[in-house]
Amino acid sequence: MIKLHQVQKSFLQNNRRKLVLENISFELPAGSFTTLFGPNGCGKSTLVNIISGLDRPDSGEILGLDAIRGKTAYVFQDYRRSLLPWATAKENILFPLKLRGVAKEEQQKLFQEALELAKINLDWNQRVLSLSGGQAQAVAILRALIIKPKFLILDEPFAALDFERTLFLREMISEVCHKLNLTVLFICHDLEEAVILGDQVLFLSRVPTVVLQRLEVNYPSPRANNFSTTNEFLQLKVKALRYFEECCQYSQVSGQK
Amino acid sequence: MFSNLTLRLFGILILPLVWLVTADLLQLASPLLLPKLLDVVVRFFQLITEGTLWKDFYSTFLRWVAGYSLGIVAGVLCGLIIGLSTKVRIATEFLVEFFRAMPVTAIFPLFLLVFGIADSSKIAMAFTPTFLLMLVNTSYGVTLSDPGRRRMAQVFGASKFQIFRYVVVFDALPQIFVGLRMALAQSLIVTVVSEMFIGTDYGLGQRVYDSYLTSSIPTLYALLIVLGILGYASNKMIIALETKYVFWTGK
Repeated sequence: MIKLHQVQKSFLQNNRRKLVLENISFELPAGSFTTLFGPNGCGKSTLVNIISGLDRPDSGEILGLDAIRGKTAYVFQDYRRSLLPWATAKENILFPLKLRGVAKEEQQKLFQEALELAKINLDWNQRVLSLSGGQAQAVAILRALIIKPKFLILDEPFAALDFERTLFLREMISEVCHKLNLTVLFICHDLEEAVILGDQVLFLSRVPTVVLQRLEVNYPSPRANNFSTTNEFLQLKVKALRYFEECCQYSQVSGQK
Repeated sequence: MFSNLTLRLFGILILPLVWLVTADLLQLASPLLLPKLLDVVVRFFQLITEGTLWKDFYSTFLRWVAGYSLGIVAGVLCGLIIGLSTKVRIATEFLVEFFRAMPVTAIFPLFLLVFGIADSSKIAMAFTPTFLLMLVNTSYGVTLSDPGRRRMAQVFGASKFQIFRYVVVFDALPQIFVGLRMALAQSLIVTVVSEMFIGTDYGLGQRVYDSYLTSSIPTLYALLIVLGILGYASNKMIIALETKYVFWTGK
């Protein structure tokens, strides 16, 4: 379990301290899928940087990071930039292993395992430039899975994809995360996606960011796309929409201060 | 209407055709300014078969390639250091700009004093613009390296050196090739110019200057064609390497 306790973070902007994260506290239970949802310009990326250890909070603490050290994997929104265009699909997937100095045979073994897990078929020796958006993001997902992570951060992985690819990858991610019992932090821009995938959805306000609401989604995983057609889902979505509107209103009020 | 191939052929043939008509057929030009195309072509093949051309070509080529290669190695190394460190960049900015603005050919007499009249001063001439161009383009390429890509490597646990080795160097490669192409042409120019000065036994520059002094105008033109082919072919070669090794640029 990863636990954030009263995390604060501010940045210097035009010689003035600007508070970005204000007393953020929440839990990511082990093996659960947490969605972070909020309006544009909430401190999501700052929060992710802090959780992933790229940045340090000014105050507050994050518990449980030791257990996931070296076991944290990422999928980024912009697959074109996060993949290495000079390398093949396979070389991209193996890149984290190469950084860790894993032996070639072991790399092969892990590669095969990842492929079986994700059930995708591609010509893995082609260059990533010739891949479609969905295929490229699938490569990015496999690259994340190859290190056998315990903690997976998905930073708007579907934002640049068309609907068909999104549907496919959404199911695949839900299935894989469930199978590997991954703790997942999912940054998301789409209310439907937030509810479909998340075991809990945290609603964030604009900067200075606080966690305003928490929606629990008690529906068994892995989630198939047809979850979004159930009555249960619709009720949750109505609730989620209301929470989101609260977030926006809160931000407006606090913005006027 | 015309295919691209036709247009290209036209572009290649138009100059010799105009030349042929004005100099050979209509004899409008003074042979001292524009000799007959046929004479030049005959001279061209004579130069090749007589054998002296090869020695000149070889000498020029060696000086050029030596200066160019040394310039690449030194320029890329310095460019990487400058590109990686903002402090070094700020500290060296003036020096680099100063020498880049200075016409290299003006430094040649100084090189003659320092390196003597043999090959080394000419190699130093080819080295100088190559070094500066590679330095500037490499350091620029490093600063262009994609922050998103570096961050990706970082979150997957890459050390600073690994980020450099596996990401930054590749990100800089397209700009390095821009430098390679610019430096190729520049270093050939200064090599040939430096060969026109004293102390050169063999070299295309020397041969060009000789043929001017002795008014062997067909030889002069034939040599220009040789130099043109050399420049053109080497540029094409760099472009081929670029297409092969930095295929991802602009995509």
